[in-house]
Amino acid sequence: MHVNKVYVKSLHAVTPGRHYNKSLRDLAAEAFLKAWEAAGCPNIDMIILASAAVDIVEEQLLSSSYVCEYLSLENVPSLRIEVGDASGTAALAYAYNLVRYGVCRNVAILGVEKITDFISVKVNKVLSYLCDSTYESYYGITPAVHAALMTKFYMKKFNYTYEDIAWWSVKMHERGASNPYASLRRKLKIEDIMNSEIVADPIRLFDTAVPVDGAVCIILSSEKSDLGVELAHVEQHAYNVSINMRPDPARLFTVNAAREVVQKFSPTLFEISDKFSIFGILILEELGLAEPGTAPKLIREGTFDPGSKVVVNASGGLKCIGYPMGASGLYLSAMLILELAKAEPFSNVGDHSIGAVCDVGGTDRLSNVLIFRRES
Amino acid sequence: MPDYNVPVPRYWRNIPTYYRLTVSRCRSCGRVYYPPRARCVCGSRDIEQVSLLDACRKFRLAEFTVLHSVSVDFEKQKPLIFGLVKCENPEVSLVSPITDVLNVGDLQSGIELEPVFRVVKRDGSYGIVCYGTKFRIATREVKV
Amino acid sequence: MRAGIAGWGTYIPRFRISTREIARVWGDDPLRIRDLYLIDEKTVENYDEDAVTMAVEAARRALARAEISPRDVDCVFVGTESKPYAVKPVASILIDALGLRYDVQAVDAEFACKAASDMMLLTALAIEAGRYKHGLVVGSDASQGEPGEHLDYSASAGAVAYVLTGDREKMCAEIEGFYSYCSDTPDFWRRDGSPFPVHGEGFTGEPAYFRHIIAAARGLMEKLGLKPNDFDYVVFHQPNTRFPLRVASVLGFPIDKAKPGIVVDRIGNTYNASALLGLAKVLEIAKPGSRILVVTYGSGAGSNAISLVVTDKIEHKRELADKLSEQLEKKILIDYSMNLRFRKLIKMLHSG
Ligand SMILES: [Zn+2]
Repeated sequence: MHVNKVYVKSLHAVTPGRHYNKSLRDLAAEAFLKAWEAAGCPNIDMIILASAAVDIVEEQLLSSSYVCEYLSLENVPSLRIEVGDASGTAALAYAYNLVRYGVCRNVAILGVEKITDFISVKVNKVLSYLCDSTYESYYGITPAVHAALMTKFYMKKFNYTYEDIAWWSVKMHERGASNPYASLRRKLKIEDIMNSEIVADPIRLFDTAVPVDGAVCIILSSEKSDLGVELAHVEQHAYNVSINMRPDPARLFTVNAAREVVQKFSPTLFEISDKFSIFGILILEELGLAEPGTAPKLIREGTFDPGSKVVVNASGGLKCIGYPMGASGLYLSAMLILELAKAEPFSNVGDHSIGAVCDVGGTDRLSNVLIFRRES
Repeated sequence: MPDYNVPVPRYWRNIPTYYRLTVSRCRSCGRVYYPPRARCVCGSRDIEQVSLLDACRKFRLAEFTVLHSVSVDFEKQKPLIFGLVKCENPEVSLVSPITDVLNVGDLQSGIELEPVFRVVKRDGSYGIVCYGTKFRIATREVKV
Repeated sequence: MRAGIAGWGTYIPRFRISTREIARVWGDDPLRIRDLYLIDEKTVENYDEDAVTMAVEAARRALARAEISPRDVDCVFVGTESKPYAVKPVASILIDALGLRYDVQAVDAEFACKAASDMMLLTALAIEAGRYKHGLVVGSDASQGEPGEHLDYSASAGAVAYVLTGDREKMCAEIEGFYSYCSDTPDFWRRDGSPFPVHGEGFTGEPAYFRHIIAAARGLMEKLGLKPNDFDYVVFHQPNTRFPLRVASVLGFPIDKAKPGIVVDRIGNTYNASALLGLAKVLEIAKPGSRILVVTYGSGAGSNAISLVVTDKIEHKRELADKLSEQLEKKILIDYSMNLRFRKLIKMLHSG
């Protein structure tokens, strides 16, 4: 069976943040139009909208169609993909197959989130829907509760202090301070992290990724482009099991399942979802980049800093980008593509030809690993 | 329409779980699930609902966290404490709210807990009172 | 009567406030306050507790002591004056919380602090008539007291539950007889929609509390041909500690027979649970053969006097659930501001 290679035709990421003056449609339009124009306005066969909470925040169903109307794409079919905060990479994975198997030539994946229309306690309620609504959110459980328990179990298992975990955030802010795509562009000292407000003990504000508005568009195509980056492989794993039913709450089983494919492609550049610091730490260990229990030490020592053999989150990760929920994974992907293409501001990252994005939906309920390759 | 938010039929359907902490138990292999399931991993669909209040007399706290950044329905109850609670028979764990704690120092891993029937949230001034099962430090150790 | 108690259950909130702390806030002399009410501490319901949650907990303990399946309960009656709903019963919530059958008789009753004892007597009558095998009766209140007012020092929260039975094998105390005495005496009331009750201060005493309790107690003793000497314990409704001790003395009971049933000094006035919690406390120590006089009182006004005789099943029952004596010890003292928060007395835009 003939399969196409899948290329990144173009992309555009709106710097995430509190875009009070822009609607979801404005943000989506900006991301799409800039990416589309950069690609030379090709015919788009399908628009895939990736968003975790568009229906809740905007009180809007059929949102992809209304976004298309705003863009005067009157006859372009569209759909929305929602698998929580992994919606973006799930949409990429879906689009990958559409292009690879010749269903579509050009697919625009449009990740959007408009969360700052809500005040923080309402945002927390929306986030709590990532947990089991009937059995967890009902009682007030949010993803931070899961992450806090994971962090505590991990700290106990490997005898780490909270400070050891907090270093993740320091290292990310080192990287993100110069990233124009970061919503939080500030270097932070370990004291800043340790003294930030408690979200769910031991997790503090800077251990989390702050919910922000964002829009990012990636156009995948069966035709090569000047970017010279190919989406070479897509790996999706699931473990549809609640945290209380897991053999070890301080593990990311779905990420571990992608270990072989990572070994096979040997990427040297990574963008991983560190929505909570513990996720970043565990992803490194589950993917085999660090032995179990060593990630906090290695990250602090600078093992994965830009310029190293293996570079992790040169963008500053979600700590700096922020947490545009369903669009998060698309932001990570956009950053990785720019890094592979040695585009600004990532010229210092080093020369890498293969990179991987690792995105996690909810508390390890599913994960998407995407392998990108720079055309030699 | 008066101002209330909780969809009542949904609350009503969940009364057995909220009030009596029912879990699914597979009649074929004995596996226990919370949240409940319609089908066991062993393939069996012969699932019964068992109340942990009837079945289990012993609960222990494995780990806990204090949530300060609460969601909108719980603003006046902050901070909230949630624990990973281990039930001994049948063997199953739950993430559950822990109540009646003023000093978090009173909680330690391994401490014995007892289930208590409590208000989870009150739906504004006109809606229903939502009840559920929480845990607190046991009044007395259960002898088994 | 051929009806009696198969099991009892008590529940009091863990949180307590001292009357000294309340006096501090209102500029009262704590010693004078203590002398006035003889109350050291009262319970404060947690933010997530109400008359329903306490009723469930007390009932669970009562069922454990009764050693019957919840499926064997034929009626569930609740006496309360602090329902969280103006319309919607507590009793029906108990059915699902306890796993009772659905073909049960269920209702809430209100007669200030007296209704739970009325429901006990009606259940006993139905059992005696052969209509019910086992009945569950709960008295539960998270009562309101206006801040800074007399009731602020006493109105508290608690619940007590009794499983009644006609089966002698299960009975730990038999109801020997009862006598009721009621009249229109408006000593204490709360109008519909009002957040706090109003009372007539001294008027709650002689024409109200004392008149009804004394009449009911004397009526019962006369009916049963018993004298104060025949009773080992006497328990009265306890709005404070002074009233029950004084009424005991007026009726000719030595203070030592009244003291074991006093709970108000450590938990405050739990309204529908008040005298019946006192009875539970006595059941935790009474020997087989002991005779107990319980006289409840509800404002508005009326009393039920009940005579019970403890059976030899009592010792076995005690350990089947946690005891009031243990619950009294397991406490967390809070200050006045936390008390206001828990009791939702801080004005807010929304409850959440
Ligand atoms: Zn099975």
